[in-house]
Amino acid sequence: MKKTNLMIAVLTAAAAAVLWGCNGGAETSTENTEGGTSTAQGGQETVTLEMLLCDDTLEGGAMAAVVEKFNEEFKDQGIQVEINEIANADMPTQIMNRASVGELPALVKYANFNDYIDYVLPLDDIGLKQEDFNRNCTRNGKFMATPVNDTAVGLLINKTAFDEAGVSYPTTEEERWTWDEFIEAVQTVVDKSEKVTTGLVIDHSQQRINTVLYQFGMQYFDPEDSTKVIFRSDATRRGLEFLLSLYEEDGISRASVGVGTENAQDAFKTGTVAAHLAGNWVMTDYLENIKDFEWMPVLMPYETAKATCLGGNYLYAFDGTGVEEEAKTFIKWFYEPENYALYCQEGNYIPGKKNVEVDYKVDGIEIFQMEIEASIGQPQYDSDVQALEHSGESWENGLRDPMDRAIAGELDVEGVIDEAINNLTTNLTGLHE
Amino acid sequence: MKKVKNVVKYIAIFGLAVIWIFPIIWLVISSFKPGSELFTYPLTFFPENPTIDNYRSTMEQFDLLLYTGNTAFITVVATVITILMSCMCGYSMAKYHYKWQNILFMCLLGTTMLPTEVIMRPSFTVLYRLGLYDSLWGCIIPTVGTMTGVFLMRQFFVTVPDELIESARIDGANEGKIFARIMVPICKSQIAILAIFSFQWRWNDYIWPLLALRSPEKYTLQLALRTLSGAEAVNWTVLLASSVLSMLPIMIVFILFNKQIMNANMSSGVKG
Repeated sequence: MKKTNLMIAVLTAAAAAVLWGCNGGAETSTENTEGGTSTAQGGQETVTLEMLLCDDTLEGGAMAAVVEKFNEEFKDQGIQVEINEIANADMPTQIMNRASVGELPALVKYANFNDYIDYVLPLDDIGLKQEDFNRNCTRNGKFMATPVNDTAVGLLINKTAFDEAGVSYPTTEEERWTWDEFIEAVQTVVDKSEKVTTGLVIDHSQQRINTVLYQFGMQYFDPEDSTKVIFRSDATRRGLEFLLSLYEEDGISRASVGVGTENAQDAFKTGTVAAHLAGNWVMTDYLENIKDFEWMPVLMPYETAKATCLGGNYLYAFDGTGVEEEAKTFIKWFYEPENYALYCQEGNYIPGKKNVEVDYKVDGIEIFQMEIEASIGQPQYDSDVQALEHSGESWENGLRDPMDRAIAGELDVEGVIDEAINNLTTNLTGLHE
Repeated sequence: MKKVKNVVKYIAIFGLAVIWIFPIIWLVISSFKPGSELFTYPLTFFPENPTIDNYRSTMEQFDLLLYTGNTAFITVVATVITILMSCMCGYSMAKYHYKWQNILFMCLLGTTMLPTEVIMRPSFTVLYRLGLYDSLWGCIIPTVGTMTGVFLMRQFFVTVPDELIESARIDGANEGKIFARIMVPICKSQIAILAIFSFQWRWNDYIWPLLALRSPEKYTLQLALRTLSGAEAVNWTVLLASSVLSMLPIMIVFILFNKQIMNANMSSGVKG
């Protein structure tokens, strides 16, 4: 009898385990489509769209807030959106994996759509046009994705340290520093401050290196011939020499930050750094986690040109999910002025769409918008060449890696240029010097 | 002289213990610091304004119970199946003799040379064809057949005298009874070792849940925690608190089975 009871208990536990394992403790829906689920409620079919994204919670939950508004407005119209938030680093794996088994999500917010272009749903028929947006998302004549928010490289300073040292900082175009003036200013701050020991930290990022090089006049591709690489130039040499001088023993930065072993953002938060070359995305973190000194964004220095690099995320839909029309309905609704302004306000995002009025909760975003307006066109041209003519190809950190070696003393400026051009021409097809 | 030796020995042991436990203590203490204190300079060991807000945020942001339940399910079921399979396979490899068996064993052992990454794609295809994609079983099935476990068990069963099995057969025990009643009880230490390893492997597993799961309600703790590290920022406050919370189940298991685990570790040193 005891044995029988034990057997029954074991079998019951096994059955329960199988059920838990298959259902994950959640309710199953009546019908699964690839990108969402359909359930019948009171005679009306409700389509639930899955939106795959990353970093939303980290950046203040802006998309979650907008999705909540959408779900409220569309609860009687049979469309709901469900957010599936995963880690940023896992996005490529998750998308490619799901593409391989035909289970792509209906909607995605992510920084890359070029690598998945074969699966992306064109959005030509929803009333949004390429001209409405800052960044180019047209591929093979089709409008494929919407730049949901832009990010711009910019400079943030330790306002307390600058004020205490009596050093002024630029918030208008007329006051903008040259790089020499900037070095002089931060050197004064370091000399006069008891706490500040480092003048400048720059994120360990190719985009940030590019920004400084553009300010020295560097170009990747010839504006007359996009297959010709013109990276090898005196402007590039001057820019690289300047960057490397920051990390020398008497420089204003630290080699540990330059090669990425020390995080620039975390270093700035200690209050021992005068300035951080980063971007608007750090503001949410700084608002929350810096309490013992004041900080603020200011205009970046320049050498021969004012330049910033744009980045950001895209909102797009996948084709073949069975819920394409509902996905388009969401995107169309999302870009209505009131909804889109709410999104930008909640996340302190720079709008990817033109002519959007946002009432920001924090000061300083306008500095990044000024940077975008003042920037020369070369960064965007180079970015477009890579996106449009080399879609699906990537030279990843082909400049940052040799820069690391140069900071460590393994390469000189010519070595960096040689290696960067080699990485560029090897990984992107059809290029020549 | 002996006393001096003992004092030196204990100081050395205590020093090593402090080195080992210091990062854990720092993690726990830091989880009570507000975000503004985590990067202050000079760094302070104890929080100036201790707070439980980090834990509150963790509970608000994550359905920790669900993720812990999913992780615990995968861990427990995978560990039980791993032990069962390894015991049976190891026993048969050690005690039954068929033609080509040693070659088969060598081939199986050879699979340990293959990194998981190499077999990931074909394993995923098999998993998908079996209908296990987006199911917790999809995180269990590919991981339970571990040659490390089979090898551990086989090496133990090889040391068991064949006479023990023969006398059991003479006494009328069938093969199932011999395995279940005689062999399994005498390899408790090996089972404990394998259970500890398997528990740790599965609890901390990241790759298979990432590949096999796509629905948020099936995510494991490790997948959920990873969302705190973004492209440009890390939510350190929540990450610290959730890391402490994710350690708790393993701590509880250790406290409950402290004696067995320590015995198993000692046995593994003697016989492993």
